[in-house]
Order: sequence, then C-alpha cells, then structure tokens
Amino acid sequence: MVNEKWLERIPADGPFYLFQGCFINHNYPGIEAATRFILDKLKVKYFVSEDQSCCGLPEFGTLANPLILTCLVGRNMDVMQKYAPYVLTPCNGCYSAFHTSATLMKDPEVATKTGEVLGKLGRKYSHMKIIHFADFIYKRLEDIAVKSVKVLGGLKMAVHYGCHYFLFEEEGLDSRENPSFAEEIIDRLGGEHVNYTAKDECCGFGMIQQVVHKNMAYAITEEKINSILNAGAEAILVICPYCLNVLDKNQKVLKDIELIEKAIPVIHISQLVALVLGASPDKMGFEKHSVDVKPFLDSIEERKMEFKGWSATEVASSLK
Amino acid sequence: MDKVSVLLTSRWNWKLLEEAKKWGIERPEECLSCGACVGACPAARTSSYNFRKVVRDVMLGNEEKVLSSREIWYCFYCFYCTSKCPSKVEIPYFIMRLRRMAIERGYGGDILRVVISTSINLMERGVSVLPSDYDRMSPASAEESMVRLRESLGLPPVMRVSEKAMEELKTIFKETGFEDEVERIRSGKWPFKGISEKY
Repeated sequence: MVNEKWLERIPADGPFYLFQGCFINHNYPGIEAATRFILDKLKVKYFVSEDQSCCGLPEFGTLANPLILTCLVGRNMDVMQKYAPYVLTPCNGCYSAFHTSATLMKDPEVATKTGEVLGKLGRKYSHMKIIHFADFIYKRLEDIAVKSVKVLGGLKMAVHYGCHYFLFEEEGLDSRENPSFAEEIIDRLGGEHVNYTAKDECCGFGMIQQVVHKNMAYAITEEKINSILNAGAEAILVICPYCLNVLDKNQKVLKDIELIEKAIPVIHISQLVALVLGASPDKMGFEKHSVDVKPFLDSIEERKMEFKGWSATEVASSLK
Repeated sequence: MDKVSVLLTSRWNWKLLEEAKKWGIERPEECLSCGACVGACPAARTSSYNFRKVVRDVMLGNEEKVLSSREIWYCFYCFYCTSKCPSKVEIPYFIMRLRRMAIERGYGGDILRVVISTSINLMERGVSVLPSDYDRMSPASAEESMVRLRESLGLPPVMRVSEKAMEELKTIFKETGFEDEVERIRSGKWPFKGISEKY
C-alpha cells in the first residue's frame, strides 16, 4: 500500500537540491547522467554545490563514530538549505544517513557536541526533508508514461528495494511489508513485475560484510539471486547503487563457481526511466556493469502510438 | 549462561546497559527473546551470531565477553530484525553502539584496518569512495578513466569538494576525534587487543 500522505508531500516540480553521492559519482556515473536526464526532461529545477561533502554513512558504518555522521549531515544540510527546501537522492546510503543522524541526535551528549563543532564553523544543525528519487519518479509516473518514447516489451523484472529505503517510518512510499510502488512503475512502463520470496532480504552488502566476512555476504546474495531466478525474472530493478554493485558483481562470481544457473542484468530505476524517456543506451554508463545488459536493452521497444476514436453512441452519451 | 537471571531485573547490570543505550536507542531491555530477529537475520544464517545471546550478556553485565567477541562484528546493518521485532528494538543501532564501546576499549583493530580506506578518502578528498576503490587500477589511472567516462556521458569531471568546504571538514575531523582515530588505525599504532572467535 502506497503511503498517500507522503506522496502528497512530495513536491512534483521541485526545486530540489540533488545530493552528490560518492559511490554514484565515482563508480556508476550512468545513474547520475540518467537522473539529470529525467529531471531535465520533466523540466524540474535542481541545484548541486561543491560545498557539499560525502554523507558520512560509510564512516559511521565502519568506525561506529556518531559525531562524524551528525557533523557531516548537519553541515551538508546547512549548505543545501540555501538552495532548495528538499533534498533528492538516488542512493539508499545517502538517504539513510539523514535518518541515522536524526536518531543519533536524540542523544543529548551527541547533540551538544555536534552543535559545538558546527558552531565553530559558523553553522548549525538544520533539518531538511530528504526524498528518494524513486519516490519522485512514482509521483511523476503519469507524466513519464505520457512523455515516454519506449516501453519495456513485457520484460519480467524483480524489484530489490534495499534495506535502508525503509528506515523512515512515516516518510517513504512503502513499508518493508510487501512494498509495491516500484512494481507499479515497471507495469506502467510496459514491463511485467514478478514477486519472489526473498524480496525484503539484504543484497549481501552488509555495510562491512562484503569486505570483512566475504563468505557470508556471498551466501546471502546467492539466496537472493536464486529466489529471483526461481520466480522467472529476466532482470533486476534496484533503487540503490550499492545494491546494484553487489547484486551485479557477486552474480558474476556466483555464476563462475556455478552456485547460480545464470546471471541477469541489474538496472537502477533512474537508468530504466531515462531509457523509456528516450535517453541513449550509450549514455547510461552500462560499461561499468559486470553482467551484460544486452538482454535488457533488447527487450525495450518503440512505444506504439495509440489513437482512440469515439463512436457515435459514445459521443451521444457524452452530450447527455 | 544463566537463563533465569535474565528474567530478574534486580540482577541486571544497569551500568553497562545504560552505557549501551546511548544514541537514542530505544528499549533493548524489552527483548522478549522470541527469536523473530534471528529468523530474519542474514548473519544468523551464515555465522554463529545470535542477537538474543548478545543482549542477554549485556543485561547480565558480561562486558568483557561481549565486547571482545567477533559476534558483534557479524551484523549486516540491514534492519530486517527491527522490522520483525515485536518490541521494535533498533538492533543494528544497538550493535553499532556495542562496536563503538569495543573500539574505545581497544578491540576490533584487525577488522577496522581492512575497512579504513573510506575514512582515509574522506580525510583527503571529502568523499568516501574514489574510482580506484572498485577498479583494479592505480588511483591515478582509475581517476583518469572515470573522468573520461563522465565526459562521454556529458557529466562534469569527478566530484570535487571546494577548498572552503575542505577547511571546514578538517575542523570536523579534528574536533570529533575522527582524524586521531583514523591515523592510529592506519598506522597500526593503536594497542589493539585481538578479538575472541569463541562465544
């Protein structure tokens, strides 16, 4: 069930501050290109600034140091609020950094120290609303469908939302219990979503586990992929670059050692929407993906124009 | 393990529990030991990790045992447990809090050393992930190839953080103790104690 209250609160036309995340910028620039393409196509105004730094989540996730996260999030929000009232991000990591920071700030000790450090910079901890780019896409889905020039020719796709999308309780479009908004997006754009048993499971990244306990991380990806393959999916849709990296690269390894039968393309929601809006596949940064995306690209078809004429009875009844 | 003591709040070690409850983490002591978290947990399926044992040991004050163990380093930080927990205990935050307590007592060095690169990148460039982190290339050629790719996509060169912002970040690194901690982990000078594999 889509959270209607949150949907209403998403500003359809911006303006937004587009958060610059290091993982997208330095590993999957195609996601950034696709995101900017969509915003331009929908004529939405957005800002970026070189005064913004990393979100700070990787440092909290590894060193468990609360202050580095609250200070970076607080500082970034102070920078960004001068540009726009809402922050937009296509990364679950950057998205959840804001939630984690808000939780940590509930501790008076952390809040005081954060205030002190930011005070030395002449800044203060200001609260901003963060919106996931997937939420924005859902908000503008009808416009996207109308403006689209391509369709997913019945491609069977499985959605992996990623754990950190669900951290906010009252914000975000869906809860972890059977989310469905990304499936609606697939269906609306001419694809066919498939459900699978391990939908709400982790991709295997595990914050540090992909590095520290590799065997555990691969075992979790293997479970996830096998569940997706059993459901008959031909591609995986993600809304987070970290999930994309893990599901894509780990699939390649798991396929090589024959723990999974085949490897299927992993696509970020920004890339998918940009493609149906007419972006060139050469500009989506697919060269950074390990699993060949050709089967996915091959299933994309030109959108057939549909004209509906009115019959005499329809005209008559509409005049009544 | 004393399974009865955990039911008697009078036997709990409140000092350790209160320390572990900082950061706005709500009610770890409300754990019913029902196991819903363990059923959902990816770490529980792939290692010996069992959150119920961890929280029980914190309640009973088995400080050394918990903080010196590998057990607290298995969590995937995926929050699947919290979504299943009838008491809505924010288990991953609680585990992060225990990791912080362990680090402050000198544990976890071997683990931190392999994940320190994002922190070093942050100190040097203001960003956590660089092109070379995920490509088997030298930092210079990885960055060059990323700049070329970004240009071909019509994007500006790699993400830069302005000099003014870097100055501010340096103050943050110093004042939060982050810089000092990263330097000590990087140089290996921190007198880290080994962690216990048995739990």
